[in-house]
Amino acid sequence: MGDRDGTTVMRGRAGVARWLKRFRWLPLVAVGAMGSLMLPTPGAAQGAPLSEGMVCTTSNTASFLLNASSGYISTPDGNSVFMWGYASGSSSFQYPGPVLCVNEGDNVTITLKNGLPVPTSLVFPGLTRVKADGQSVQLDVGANSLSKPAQPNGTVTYTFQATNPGTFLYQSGTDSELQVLMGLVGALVVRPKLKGASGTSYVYDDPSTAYDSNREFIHVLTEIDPHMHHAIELATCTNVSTTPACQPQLPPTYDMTKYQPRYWMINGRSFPDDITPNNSPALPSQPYGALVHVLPKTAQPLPALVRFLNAGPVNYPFHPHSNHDSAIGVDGRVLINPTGGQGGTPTNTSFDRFGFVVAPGQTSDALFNWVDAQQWDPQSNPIGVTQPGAQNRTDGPYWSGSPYLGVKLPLLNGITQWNQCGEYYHFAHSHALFQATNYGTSGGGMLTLIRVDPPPDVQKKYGQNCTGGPGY
Amino acid sequence: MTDQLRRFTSRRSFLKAAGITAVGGLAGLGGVELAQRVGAAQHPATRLVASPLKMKEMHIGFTDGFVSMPAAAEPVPPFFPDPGAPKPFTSYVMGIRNLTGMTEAEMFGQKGHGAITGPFLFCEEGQDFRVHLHNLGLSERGDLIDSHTIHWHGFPNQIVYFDGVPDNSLAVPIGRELIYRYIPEDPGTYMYHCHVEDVEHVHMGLTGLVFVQPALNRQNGNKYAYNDAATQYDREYGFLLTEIDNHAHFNDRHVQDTDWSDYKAAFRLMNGRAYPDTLQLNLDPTAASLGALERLRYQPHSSLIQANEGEKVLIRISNLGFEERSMVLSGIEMNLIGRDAKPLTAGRPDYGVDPPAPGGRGDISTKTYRLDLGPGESRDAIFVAPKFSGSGTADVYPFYDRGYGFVNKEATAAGDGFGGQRTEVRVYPKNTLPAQTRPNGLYDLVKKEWTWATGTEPL
Ligand SMILES: [Cu+2]
Ligand SMILES: [Cu+2]
Repeated sequence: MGDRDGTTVMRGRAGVARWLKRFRWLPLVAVGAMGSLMLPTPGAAQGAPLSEGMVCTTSNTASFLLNASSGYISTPDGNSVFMWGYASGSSSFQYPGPVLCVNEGDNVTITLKNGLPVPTSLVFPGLTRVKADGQSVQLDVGANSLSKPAQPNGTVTYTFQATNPGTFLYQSGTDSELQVLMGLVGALVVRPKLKGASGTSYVYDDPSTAYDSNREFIHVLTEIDPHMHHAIELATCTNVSTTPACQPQLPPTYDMTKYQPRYWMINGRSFPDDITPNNSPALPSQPYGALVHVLPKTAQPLPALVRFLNAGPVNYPFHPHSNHDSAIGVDGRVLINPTGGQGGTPTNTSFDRFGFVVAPGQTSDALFNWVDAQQWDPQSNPIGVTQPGAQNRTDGPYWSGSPYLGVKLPLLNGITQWNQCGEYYHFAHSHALFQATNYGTSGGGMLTLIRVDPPPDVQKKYGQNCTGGPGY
Repeated sequence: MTDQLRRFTSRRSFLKAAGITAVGGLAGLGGVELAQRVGAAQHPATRLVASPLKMKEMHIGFTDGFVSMPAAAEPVPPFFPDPGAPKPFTSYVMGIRNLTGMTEAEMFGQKGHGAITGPFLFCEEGQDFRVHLHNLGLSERGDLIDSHTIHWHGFPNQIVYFDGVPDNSLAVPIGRELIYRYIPEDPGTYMYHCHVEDVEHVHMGLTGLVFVQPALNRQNGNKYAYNDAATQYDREYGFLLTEIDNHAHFNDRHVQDTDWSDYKAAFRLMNGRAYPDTLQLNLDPTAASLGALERLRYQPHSSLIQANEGEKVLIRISNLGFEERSMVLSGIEMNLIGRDAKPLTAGRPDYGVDPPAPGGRGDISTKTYRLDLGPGESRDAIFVAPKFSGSGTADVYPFYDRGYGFVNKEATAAGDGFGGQRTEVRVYPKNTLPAQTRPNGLYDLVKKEWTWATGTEPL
């Protein structure tokens, strides 16, 4: 796990470069099959296929088993962080928890099995009439719990009807200020009744929320104070062997006035780890990638969907480069005012943002597309300004070497080129820029890439063959 | 000197010799290139070809320099004032200068004289707008050989070549020049910044405001924020919000590393100045002498808002700090009409429709006394200057950070906590101020002359 056993050492950019390169030789599985087309295999399952986009954990009976357990994740600077999290069914620990996908109207059953040394529970903000072991959920003030907790090695079963489509968080309701930060979070997606033709999906029961079924992405935003996690690891005597034997301090506590996040993550990974595929074997307990992969609007008429969920304790001001995100839903509700229009008719209150601030506990659904607005073309429509020669510029590794989509040229000597087929890479990141760092070093943290491939006809024209994103 | 620099310099000199202005002359070139676009597939680029607009071309330089936080601000030895800062300055920064119209020697003469915030960049919808970025190098940190870029933050449907992210495209090394070409289709308020070592270069001061004026402006001589008659205004004031972490600035000057996850802002700035310096008028960094205001030479932009009673005032505001802001305007109701360079008024365009066409989206503009904006967000708000009360020379309304960043100080400290985002709206009787002809233009009522913001000079 991480550098704990010395198998994976990634320090600084050179290390990451080597590591990314290694994965370019992996057999390419399920190219182009993304999001909801993927088999509903939980990420941490052994041998789950590499993929891009949102990976759903589904169940014919809308019944799920979540095992609260501990484990380790790795960060791009070579650190290994102790976590609490959820394992799905018989799979091993993962962070964040599995993305549970259900359908509107489903009667959902989630059984929480507690493998932690402290009581823990589940809450589902935005869902109503949740029952725990058949009883309406009540506060348990004595246990500092917002819901009925499961004792260590105990079990609680939560049931509810998924009455509204949308994006929701599930998270620990016990000692939440500690347990949620320790990693006890995950996403719950409720799919609407409204179904489209093949390739068309909807976020809500409204046609204006259509998106390309093969371009569904999720960004669960979190942060980590590694010192806090280490303190909990020691206090619970996890992997501590001493003489005399370590005595757990239960419940473990941390002085939250000392809280200081150092890592910021999308789907439990920091950049550049987050642009590698889902189920990357290098990140066995962090199964979800965050690369957003689209085609220009001419080749992909329906927009992509990005579901944002803030599971951290502060606002994250997320900034997608290359085009605005259109916010069409917030907190599991569509942005349509049913009576706000003329004569009491419905009116669309969605809006477009290049600064996508997500508040703690908030979810927001964003449509995204990229339009080849200027149609720059080396022959028919050149950019009209001189591209500097080798002595007059510096190059970045994700660049194609050309301004034109689909044209790939060599980069300067000494720059490793990770560009595959003349595609564009755009940043998408927290604009509180210290959050776009790995422990203070820029070019990391809550940052991912938006990949825009040339349309098929342009690929053909330039002899390119675009497949998976970086890390393949 | 690079070949490119030489070429452009000589072309400018040639045009000058030929008796035409550089911009006018080059506009013809822009026209030729645009004409080639006729018939470009799918995208209606033809409306750009039909544009009567001349190309706008600017040169800006990125370098380092020194600025001054308020003279009475609480010292935090050894970090503030920085003992390495020459008098009358307090803080080391990276900064930007407007080099448009300068000779090459004059351009490189600005090395070490960077200003915060950068020149205002603006153009009209559909205009061929070109910005030459010159990396002048750092005078204090010869060991840093960082390249720079311009990231026009929020530009819709940008290609990576012009997006300015060094990892994903190219950047400009010291002594060289890179040309960014923009043909903006969406009016509104944006921001620009360097994206090299982004947390450092943005925080150190390589930041500025950029905005696009709507095509509607060309119809009747009125000014509008968007292509909507409801967004008409008489005066406009742009604000860039940033912050200063004294430790990070000290570290950059003294060759120390900064752990950016320790980030903690000390000063909160509007247009590069902290209160009460925000109230000083615009300054010209190239002026021979600035007298008592010498310490603000490299913070040329005022944050004052002036209006005659009854006039409509547009506030453009962008946040490139790392903290979220709640800006309060006491006593005057604002109409929040734009957000992230998109109109909020009725008939606003649908998402992803190209060209943007009015769609089925409703009016979500709101009346407010407060503007929320997180890092990397922008807002446009219009207010009507209230009736003059009849006493004094002007009615004064405060516009300030409700987080009270300006009152944070130790109990024993002097200086009344100067150093935050706070300014004033000054409302005068009718006809006191002449019409405003350039963005952020402020009238000096004593000297009876205008003070201009950098980047707003006519070309
Ligand atoms: Cu820079
Ligand atoms: Cu930005």
